[in-house]
This record gives sequence, C-alpha cells and structure tokens, in this order.
Amino acid sequence: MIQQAVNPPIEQRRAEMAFGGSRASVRARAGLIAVVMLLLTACATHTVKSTSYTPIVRGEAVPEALLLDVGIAIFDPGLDGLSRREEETTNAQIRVAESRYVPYLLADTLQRSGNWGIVRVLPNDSSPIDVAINGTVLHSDGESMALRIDVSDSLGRAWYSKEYDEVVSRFSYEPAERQKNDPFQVVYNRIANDLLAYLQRSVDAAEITEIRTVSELQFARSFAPDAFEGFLTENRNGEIEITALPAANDPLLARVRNIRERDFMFIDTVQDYYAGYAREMRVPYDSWREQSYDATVTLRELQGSARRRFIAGTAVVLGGIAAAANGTDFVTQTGGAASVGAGAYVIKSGFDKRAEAQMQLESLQELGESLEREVAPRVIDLEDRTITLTGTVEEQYSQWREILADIYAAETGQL
Amino acid sequence: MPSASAGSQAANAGSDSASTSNSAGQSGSQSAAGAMPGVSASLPGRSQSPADTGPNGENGEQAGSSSAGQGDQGGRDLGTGASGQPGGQQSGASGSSGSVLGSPSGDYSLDTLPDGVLSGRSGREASSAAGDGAVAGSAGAGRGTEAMTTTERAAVLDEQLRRGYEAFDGFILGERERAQAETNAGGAGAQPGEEAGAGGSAAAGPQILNGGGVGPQVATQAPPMPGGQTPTETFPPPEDIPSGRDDDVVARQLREAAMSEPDPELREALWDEYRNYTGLSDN
Repeated sequence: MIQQAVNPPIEQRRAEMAFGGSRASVRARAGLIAVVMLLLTACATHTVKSTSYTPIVRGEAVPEALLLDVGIAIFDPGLDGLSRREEETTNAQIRVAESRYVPYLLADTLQRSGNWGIVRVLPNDSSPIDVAINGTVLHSDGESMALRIDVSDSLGRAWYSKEYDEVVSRFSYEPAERQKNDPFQVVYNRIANDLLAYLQRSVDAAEITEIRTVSELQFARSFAPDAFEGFLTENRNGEIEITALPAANDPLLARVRNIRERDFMFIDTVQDYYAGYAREMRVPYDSWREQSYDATVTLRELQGSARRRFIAGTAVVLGGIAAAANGTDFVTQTGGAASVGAGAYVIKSGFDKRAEAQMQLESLQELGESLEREVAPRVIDLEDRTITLTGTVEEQYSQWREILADIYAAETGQL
Repeated sequence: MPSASAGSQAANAGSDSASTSNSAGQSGSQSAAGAMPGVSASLPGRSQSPADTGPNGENGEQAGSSSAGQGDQGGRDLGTGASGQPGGQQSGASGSSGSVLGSPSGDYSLDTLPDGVLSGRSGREASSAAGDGAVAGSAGAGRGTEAMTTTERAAVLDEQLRRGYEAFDGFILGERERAQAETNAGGAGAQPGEEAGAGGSAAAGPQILNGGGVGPQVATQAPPMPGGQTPTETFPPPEDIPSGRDDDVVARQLREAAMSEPDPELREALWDEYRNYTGLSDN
C-alpha cells in the first residue's frame, strides 16, 4: 500500500498525465469559448447617425419672369415593394398619411427658399406646371426616412431621379430642436438644394422661358384645343416643342390667362386644405415618431442580439458535439458535453431576446395603430374636401371650355 | 358647331324667356348659399338676350370691364391668393351683391350643391326652357340672329365668362376663408420662417413648432376627434403626475383616458391606476 502510495500504478499515472496533459487544452478551449461568446453576444451594430444640419441654399435673386413654378404630386406611399420584415413594422394608414404630409413639408421648404415661383401640392395632374416633382416614400419611422424623388419639367424632360435617406439621432427630438425644424427637415433641405443646383447647372434663361411658355400653352390647349392645338408638337423623344407662338394681344389667350389665374386660386385653396391637414397631423405624428424612435432602436438591437446569440450558440454546440464525438479521453468528451450545454444556454438566451424583440415589435405596432386612429379620419376628410372642390371646379371648367369654343368659332367666322 | 349655332339662335329669344332663365338662375343660386350655386345657374343660358340687363347686369357689366382689365394685370404671383385677383374680388363684390353667391357657410358637400350643378342639368333645363320660348319666338327672332355681328356674339359669350368668373371667385374665396378660419382656430399663432413662404397659405409650416406645443404636451395629446366635431375637453393632471415623456404605451393610454374623462371619480381612479402602473404610488 505504501509502495502504491509512493509509486502509483502506471495506469493511474497515465490517466493523470492524460488528465494533466488535456487540462490545459480544456482550459484553453473553455477560455476560447468564453471569449467567443463574450465577443459575439457583446457586439452591437453600429449605425451612423447624423446630427449635422443642412441649411437651405438661397440662390441669387432673379426676375419674376425667370422663376419656375413647382408642383408636387401626392407621394406614392411605397406599400407595394415592402419586404416581409418591413410589413411588420410599417403601418399602411400612416404611410398613406405621410404621402400627403411629406409633399406639403417639401413644398413649404421650396417656397421658403425663395428660389422658385409658386410651389404647390397638386391634387392631380390636370394643371400644367413648369416643374413637376413626384416622389415615393421608401421608408419612414421615428429613426429614419427614405424618399425617392423624380423631377421633370413641362417639356417632358426628365431632370433627375434621386433617393434620399436620413437617420436622425435622439437629438432631433429635443424640444429646442423640434421648435425650429421637423426632425427630418434636413431631407427636405437636401432635396431643395439639389433642385436648385440642377437648375443653376443645367437650365439656362432661354430654357426657363421656354418651359414657362410651354406650360401656358399646354393650359391654353386644354381649354381651347381648337385655337391652341397648333402651337405645340411632340418630338420623337416625347419632348414638347413650340412650333409657333400666339400673338401677344390675342384676346383668346387673354381669356385663357384669366382662367389660369382662377386655376391658381383653386390650387391655392387646395394648398390651404393641406396646410390645415398638416397642422392637425403634426402633433400626433411627431409624438408617434418620437416614441417609435426608441422602440425602433430597441427592436433593432434586440433582433441583432438574438441573431448573434443563435449564431454563437450554434457554433459552440457544434464544436462541443464534435469534441464529444471525436474525443479520445474522458476529459475531452466531458469538455465537449459542457460546451454543448453552454451553447444551448446561449441559444436559449437568443430565444429570450427574440421574445423581447417580439414584444417590442408589438409595442411598435400598437403605437402605429394609435396614430392610425388619429390620422386616418383626417386623411379621409382631406380627400373628401379635395375631391369635392375639384369636382365643382371641373364642372365650371367644362362650361368655360364650351364658351371658349363658341368664342373661337364666332371670332373665326365659323358661326 | 351645332351647339354654338343653336346657342346663338337661342340667344335671340324674346326677353320673356331670358328673364325666365335669369330668374331661374338666381333662384337656383340662392338656394345653396355658401356652395358654388352659380356654377351653372349664374351662367345665363345661351337663351339669354344680349340686351338683358338683369338686377345685376349693369353693375356686372361695369365690373366686368374692370375685371377684364385687372385680371390681365393680375400676374402669376399669388402669394396671398386674395391679392391675385383684385378685379375678381371687385367684380365678385359688385356683381354678386350677395344675391347670387350668398355668404360662404362652409358647407361644401355635394348635397348642398343645387341639383344638377355637377351634371349641368340646371343650366340645360334653363336652356331648354329658354329654347322652348326660342322655338315659339324663332320666327320673329330670325331677323335678330342675322343682325348679330361676331363682335356681339363674342360680347355675349364674354358676359357669360365674366359671370362665371364672378361665381367662381366668390366660391373659391369663400372656401379659402373657411379653410384659413379653420386653420387659425385650430392652429398655433405666428411661427418663425413662415413669412417668406407658404404662398397662398397663412397657416404655419409644419416644421416650425410652437415653443409651448412640445415637450410634456406631446405625450398628453387630447384624443383624436373626427373632422367637424368639437374637440374633447381635457383635464390637467394632478400635481404629482410627471410630464409623461417616459411613458410607455400603456401609461400613455392611461394618461390620455384620465385627461379626457369628465367624471371626476372615474378620472381619479384612472390616475390611481396610472400611479400604480408607473410606480408613483410606491415612491
């Protein structure tokens, strides 16, 4: 027994050597696993957020005759191209409300820049305008907004298309900042600056005059086609060209100009509707954006954390299985089994994170539903008023068209 | 153009038919104050005699000439909207005399428009009534058609245009006044940055927020009201209730329900629920 105590059996020593030899590897493996888990679970996605503000650029003063009018159509809500994940966080009614709200903010920004003539949100495309802006809301929540803008002129020339996206910081929702600007005012300023830059770079004074003339002739043609059909033509590129100009003192043109002034009044009235709509929507919408900002950021972090935990846990489990299956000694196999357990725990934590993310998503959806109940009636009211006004005006326009046709026939001796 | 020739023949109908159509037009327009009653009714039918000088005819003609001149000088800048049509405003004021257009009541729904405004039936009915008279008197009026020159025909049609302008101007200005009154009643006061922009709209830009309209008030907004209804009365929170900026969805709903609850006992119960949920009662 004493000899056994002094000289342990060879088998036991071999076991101890094996144990002592793999002890380091087990420690190393465990340490490596711990480091990997720590790194993977602690990693957070980094989102670049801008706190800088892009001011509106005001160009040099130009004569009124060289100012182009801008019409902004109601934006496309962008609901058709949503991914499955985007559908979970996008409220269709809010997006529809935004498709009316965003154009008004953009129109107000362009108007305040002083670089353009009249800038209006147009309820339809029946009124020819010098520069037309169409847009799509690609993405919008409290944290980020993405828009696509398409610009063209009355000649039918496409100026450019561009996408704008902005991720704002919490700073944008500070009361002092919100008193000055919309949280995403920088997007509208960038759009306005790009539009001015294109105008200054690519459109000269002669083209501006041509655009304004074509707009007027298009309007005249819509009201008196018999009289003004021959002044415009379309080339092979689909662009409008002026073939002739009416006399400066053409009485029929003077009548059309009178009607066009009324059309501007109609557009101004629609603009008043949108102004009232924007004012009613601003408070609940800003509140929703501020609250959804935190929820959106938290949701993204939880989803990312859950994903990383799944990846890390799966990797650890697979490594542990491999070690347990291929290990030649008890320690390796035991270490492998321990790794499997640790990986399973990480995977379980990933499920917990995903459950938290789901709760956050439901909270976000509930916020959206709350705003939807507030803005949906306002959207309906806006549409109702606009359609009613448009219908009444169009009825009057149709009578004026008949009268102008009779006047033209009388003046040309057809009667 | 058959319609034009028929119209010119009808235009030379006897004064009886013209006065009939004119009175029909006026009564039709008076029936729907605030809407655009004169869309077709105020436009005298083509049966109207060129010599017609109805109750508003003389004033309308005088204003028409002034509006025709001033309308040409209106220019494209409609920053305020109302100033773009001084002639229209004048003609609207003098030509309408309140009898055709009435005062804008703000009721713009389709139901308030006179029958046939959108379909033009009232105008066509007046024309058909005048046409019947024209048929009866066509034999005697045939010589009048031949004597009507191109200038006279154009003058008649210009008069129709002018009256249409009057009706349109009154209607649009009424709509703008109503829209701006609603905006002024429900919105904030003057905000920075709106003086140079928002042409045609006196309302403030949405990106310029009030100094007192943000912060705690953002989270405690009154419940939404459908358009046209009076806003729900809100009751201020007790002094121990914080601003609510950090409220989650449930706390915010409790706050909103409590602030809009008229029953004081129920309101206090809701605030107690709010305190329990947010942990204020423990503190």
